[in-house]
Amino acid sequence: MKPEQWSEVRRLFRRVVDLPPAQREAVLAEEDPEPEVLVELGRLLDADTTTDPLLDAEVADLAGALAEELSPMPSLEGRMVGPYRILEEIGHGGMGAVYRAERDDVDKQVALKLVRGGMAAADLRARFLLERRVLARLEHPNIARLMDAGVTEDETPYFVMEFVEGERITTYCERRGLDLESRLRLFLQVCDAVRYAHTNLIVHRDLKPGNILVTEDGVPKLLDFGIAKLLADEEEGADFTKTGSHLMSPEYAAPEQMTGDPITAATDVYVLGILFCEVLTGRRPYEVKGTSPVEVASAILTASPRRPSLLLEDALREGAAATEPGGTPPSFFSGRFGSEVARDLDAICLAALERDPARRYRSADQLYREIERVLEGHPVEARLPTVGYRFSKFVRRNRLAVGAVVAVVLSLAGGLGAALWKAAETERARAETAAALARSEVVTDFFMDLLSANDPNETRGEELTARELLDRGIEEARELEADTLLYAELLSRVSEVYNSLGEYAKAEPLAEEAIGLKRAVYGTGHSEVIDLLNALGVSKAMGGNLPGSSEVFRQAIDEGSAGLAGEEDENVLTAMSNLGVVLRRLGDLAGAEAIYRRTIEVQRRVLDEDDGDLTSTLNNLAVLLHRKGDLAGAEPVFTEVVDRQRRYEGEDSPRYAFAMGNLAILLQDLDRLDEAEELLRRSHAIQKLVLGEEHPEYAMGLHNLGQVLLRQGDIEAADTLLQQSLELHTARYDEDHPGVLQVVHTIAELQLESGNAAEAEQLFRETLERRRSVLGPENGDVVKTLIGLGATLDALGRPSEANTVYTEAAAVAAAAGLQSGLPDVIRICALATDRELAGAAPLCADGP
Amino acid sequence: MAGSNGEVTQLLRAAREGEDEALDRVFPLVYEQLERLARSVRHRSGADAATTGVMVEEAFQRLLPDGDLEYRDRLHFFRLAAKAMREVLVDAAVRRAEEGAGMAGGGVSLVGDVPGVSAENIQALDGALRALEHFSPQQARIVELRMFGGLTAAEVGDALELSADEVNQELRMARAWITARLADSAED
Repeated sequence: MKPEQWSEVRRLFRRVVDLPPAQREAVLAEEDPEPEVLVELGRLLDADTTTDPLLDAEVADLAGALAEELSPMPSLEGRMVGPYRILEEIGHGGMGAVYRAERDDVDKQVALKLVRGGMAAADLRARFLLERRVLARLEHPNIARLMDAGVTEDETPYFVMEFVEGERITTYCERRGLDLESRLRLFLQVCDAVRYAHTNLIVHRDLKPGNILVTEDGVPKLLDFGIAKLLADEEEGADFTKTGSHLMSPEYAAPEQMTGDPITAATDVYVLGILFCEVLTGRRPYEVKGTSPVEVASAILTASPRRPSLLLEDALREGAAATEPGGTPPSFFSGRFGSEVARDLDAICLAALERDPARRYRSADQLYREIERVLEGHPVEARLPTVGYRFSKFVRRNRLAVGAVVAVVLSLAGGLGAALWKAAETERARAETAAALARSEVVTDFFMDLLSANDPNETRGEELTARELLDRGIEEARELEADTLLYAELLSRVSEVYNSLGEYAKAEPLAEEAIGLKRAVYGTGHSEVIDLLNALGVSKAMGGNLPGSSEVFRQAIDEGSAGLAGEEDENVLTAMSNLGVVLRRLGDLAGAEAIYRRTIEVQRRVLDEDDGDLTSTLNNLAVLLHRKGDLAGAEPVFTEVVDRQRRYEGEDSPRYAFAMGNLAILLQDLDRLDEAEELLRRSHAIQKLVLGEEHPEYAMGLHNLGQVLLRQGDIEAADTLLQQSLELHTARYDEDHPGVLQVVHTIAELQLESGNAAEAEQLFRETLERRRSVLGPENGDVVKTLIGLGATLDALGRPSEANTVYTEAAAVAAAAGLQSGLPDVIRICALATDRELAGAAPLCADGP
Repeated sequence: MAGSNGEVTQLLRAAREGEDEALDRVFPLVYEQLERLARSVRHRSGADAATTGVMVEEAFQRLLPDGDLEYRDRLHFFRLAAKAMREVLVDAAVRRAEEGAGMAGGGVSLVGDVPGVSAENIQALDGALRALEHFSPQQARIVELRMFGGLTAAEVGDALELSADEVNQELRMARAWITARLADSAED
């Protein structure tokens, strides 16, 4: 094109680009440009209306994405990430890379995913810890477990998952040329995994063939459960659609992920619908053309899915040349699976692919049942004329826009079905499983409805808070009374959520009502009743009513031991250790000891030798004995805990390290400093390796080691460790944190030892004041600081001031209930005798 | 680090007065700074910390911390920086394309990709821009300043002595031209 022609194109483009088509034509007719100019102009005007991903992304978004895409990931092979050794990269893309990795101590390979960009590492870690409880519950043969998450030295967040060797479900079906029934059975397992997660109130959010691998043995495994949400939370509220574009694969996204409406179980159902089509026919129900966010969104929001039977016809027509070996599915819809089945499958896909979430199957469970019906030859619900009504009865309600509240309540409501599922694993409850699961699904739905239903007419346009929703929910629940157990389940779950929200007064009557109902159905002393009593006891304890709480736990133990459950029931055992904790907090140390010992006795009888519950009760007992001053009694128990953690948790487990730390503190009190030092050094090495240097337990470990070295007289080494510990503590906590105060206290002791008594006095006084306000005036740690201050005053030659301080220490120790065997008490009483301090009498009455 | 504050300032002034050699000497400094910033993007939190505009601005502040520069010299810097940013990203795309061939996938899912952004796309865009430079250099420069320099339409106008409206019109046509060209090459 000649330059003057180009100028002409420019001029005409400017002139007509904003005109409507009719006027454009008129102008062009009048101008009558050369043919070449007209062709070029036409091209540009066409292009002007199409979108282009690179050019249309907001400049900012685009550039950020570019830089992220292009900034190199360092090669990590052979390096350590946390406790994991990277073996090889097995995939990478815009958001990071996945590696095969292993732990040196465990003979098992894992998949380790490094996530790059955008994410504040510390937040991710914190959120993972919050969610871990829920994610750890996801134990299902078709779900690859999320095992760990952390942050590398250069602050890249990582996830550790079960390593799955397999191929994408779509490839698997195609390569093996599976027949229809095999495909249905395979997909059924996928639905089973998703419905199990839904029962636990976890929505996957990012299902796609790459996330569903089929192993050599034909077992499908779902990857990445929980990750999408972890990554999305950060950005939620800021810009939902942006979150979407970062996380989604456009071909496998639901409409609400484009519009920013709440993500619910129905989101996964939609994507399962796409995957179902693809597994059946090798094709997706619609293609998402173009890649710019705008184009993708509009494609998904306006898509009209093709039915699987039509997709298959397309495939057969185009694939007449038989591109796929192994003869894919020409005979799909013949024989046993005739045209009726084709219509069923069409209806199921379309019902899953309803654009409006409220019109879809409400959960993966419904989809599962539908596919099951096809396999069993029963009529499917998607073809019932009422189905539209059934799925749309919630349509009229508007959806709640506060994703954050939904997320909070959902995660709080967490364990919902998990308890039922767990119960189903025991022999006793197997018969009840089906009914219980059905109930749990209703309960899940109930919550999801509750959270997604928010009628602006009633709320006058204001958004309901989680509390208001619950209040309303419980009213609705009362109308459901037809099924007593279902109602009881709802009552107790709502009660749990109230508990999590700190609304103990509201939680308790609901729990009591639920207990009454379950007792009537199951009978007195049934394990289910004890379970609810435990919840009630916890509720009372959290509300500050410790005496009331201990009564409830006693009732649970008595009722359960004498009743159907029996003393060996899991829930009765839980009640026992709960009672121990409450009694200890009530100061009834003897009562607590008795109940711990009884629990341990039963646990030894009932539980597997390596059960962590037994270890945890033993640890509680040991801490209690130490606190009581029964140092000799505490030692063998701590030693057993250390031994069990080493054997059952592993030589490099943080729990083993923690247990050694506890034992070391006891040994210090027993003045066996060399043994304490050795334990602390081992503990320190594990913490450094496994937890990393930013972990609070590592920082506390440094302090503990420093403290022992100080007592052994190695002031210089102690000083280094304590300063390091202080730095780590203050980087993480504010100056009133108990950990910080502990370190400062020990540094004051070090100053005193090094002859800087003036400096020590100032530090002790500061610590004393802060400990009083943070821990309360009557506290064992306050006693320690008073003793330190007294010694400092003696060193400064102010014995009468010291006497006052010691007298106060004796009073505080008595008020805090410190027992006569403790070193601090022994020391105060010895001083009191030497100096004839009358105020120490109540503490030292028994004599040291 | 090479290129202390005073050096860059002087080079920019010299460049304005027509010393091409001075320009040649500033460019590598800016390139180096931007590449370092681009590499560190991974460590940043918050999506908007990583835009080209923010990176260019940051490079400006690092290379010219006292900001003691006339507006015209500033614009000069940003023209330079847009070009450098473009080269940084294209170079990285080339490297990525070379090392990454055949590595994606592998049966393991990744969290997700940003639609439309890939090493190939960057290279294609760069190619289209180069073609546009041949017969419509001003439009090409506008695209470069907007996309890679992160400048607003008004700032682009100031740099090129155009009104913001003119910039937007030219940008729209350039965009259409590049779109058509990318579509053509995609069909080949």
